[in-house]
Amino acid sequence: MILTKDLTKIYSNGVVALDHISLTINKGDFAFLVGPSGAGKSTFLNLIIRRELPTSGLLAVNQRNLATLKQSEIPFHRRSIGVVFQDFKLLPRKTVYENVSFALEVIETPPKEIKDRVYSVLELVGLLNKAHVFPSELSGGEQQRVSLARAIVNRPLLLLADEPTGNLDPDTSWEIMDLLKEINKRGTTVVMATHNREIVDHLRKRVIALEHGKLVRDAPKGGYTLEN
Amino acid sequence: MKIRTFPYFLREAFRSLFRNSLLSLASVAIITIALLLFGLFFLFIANLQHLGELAWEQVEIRVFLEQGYKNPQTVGQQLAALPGVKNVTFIPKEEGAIFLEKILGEKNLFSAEENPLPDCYRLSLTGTAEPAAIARQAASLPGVEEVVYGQAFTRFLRLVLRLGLVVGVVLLCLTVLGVLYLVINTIQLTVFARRQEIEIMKLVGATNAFVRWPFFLEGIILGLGGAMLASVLLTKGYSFLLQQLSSYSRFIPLLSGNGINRTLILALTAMGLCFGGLGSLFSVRRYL
Repeated sequence: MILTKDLTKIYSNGVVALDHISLTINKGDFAFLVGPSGAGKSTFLNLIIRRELPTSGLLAVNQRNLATLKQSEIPFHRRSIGVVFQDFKLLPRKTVYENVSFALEVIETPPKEIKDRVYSVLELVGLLNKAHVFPSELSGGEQQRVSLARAIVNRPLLLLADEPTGNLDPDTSWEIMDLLKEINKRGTTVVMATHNREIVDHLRKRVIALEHGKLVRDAPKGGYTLEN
Repeated sequence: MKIRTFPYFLREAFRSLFRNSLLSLASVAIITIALLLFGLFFLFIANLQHLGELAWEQVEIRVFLEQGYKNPQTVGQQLAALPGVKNVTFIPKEEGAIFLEKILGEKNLFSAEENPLPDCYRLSLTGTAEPAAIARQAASLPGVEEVVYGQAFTRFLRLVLRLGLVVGVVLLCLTVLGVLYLVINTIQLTVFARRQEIEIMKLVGATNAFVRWPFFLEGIILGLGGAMLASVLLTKGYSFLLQQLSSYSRFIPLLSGNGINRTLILALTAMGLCFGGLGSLFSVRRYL
């Protein structure tokens, strides 16, 4: 699913965001990406969705080498990936339904199919009754569920979540985690960058720890910090 | 791009215009003002040009025939056939004598047999004619003795008109650039307000063409809206001005009728459409 070898990203200001990272994330995995701010977690996710280009090394997603991906191929690469952000990134002037259907409309899904898929995914995230309200009328947790619905509505192979619980209270965070586990159970690979120690320690999933751009730990069922 | 997606683009464009209604109205207002400025300038230049042409039409050429030339009608036909000649009036020498008597204030200057004046043709020209060239051609016709026209005046008028035209065209081009700048900046504001939408479209896998279309249509609709408003205001305003000045129309012969309105509406619509569409494409490009 994701294969990196000596993956390095150095920004034009000289900051080394990722330093020779080599790892493999397999199809169906659930991996936490942990580390302090500035460790390179967001850069790693940005490289996967091809918002940025690696400076050197190999990065392949779904057997596509992202360094050699043509500009015209980027949209098609992104269609196999769902992304969830800490700040939800919902469109304030679109309803819940429109925010989700938007992801299908831009990839030119037939209208009939759009309706069925949007309602089915809204049911999964428990927001069927709020399909026609605007994001400003929703709580933070509900907004994040809309964001999740938008990320998975086109049935991506890979779901990237960048601090999805960062703006949420503990109870709501667990609701989002339950949804992510459910999505993962249905076969989608999930990579989640987080600072939430409680969630990582409790779920005991794979933990990839970064520090100053270096891979410092890759534990199959790890905790937030190294345990002896 | 699938054809069935086009209604989606149109729907999105209109939906976004209505949901961002305040911004849309402000954009249409700014585009209207910019096009109004252009339209006012356009009318001013067109009327200046029109007045110049009217002045040009006052230029007359007098063609004097040889004394006793037997075939003045043939010369008249040849003169009428010259390009740029609007009207040909024959002035027989008898009429010339009467005219001279009027000027000198004397009666019976010449008897019919002694009249030394030649027959003459008076030519009036079209607005675009070149008097010097017509005079040269007229002088070369058989039977023509002399050709007279106000050389100094026509040279001066020609200079003033050419200068006016050059200055007018340059200023009009500058106005067009100004309008383009204003329209692009206005549309850039509407696109800037929706940069997050573009970012999300890109993240969920929209192609660049797909992102551009709704914005392009929105730009065209905003441009068209501005052009329609500006057209209505200008044509109504101009009709009102013509009405107010109707009693002075002999002294201020402004352009009137459907011709100028049609040209103005066409120019404004073309500018609104092109600049709106171009402005959108230009503005969206920054976020792709």
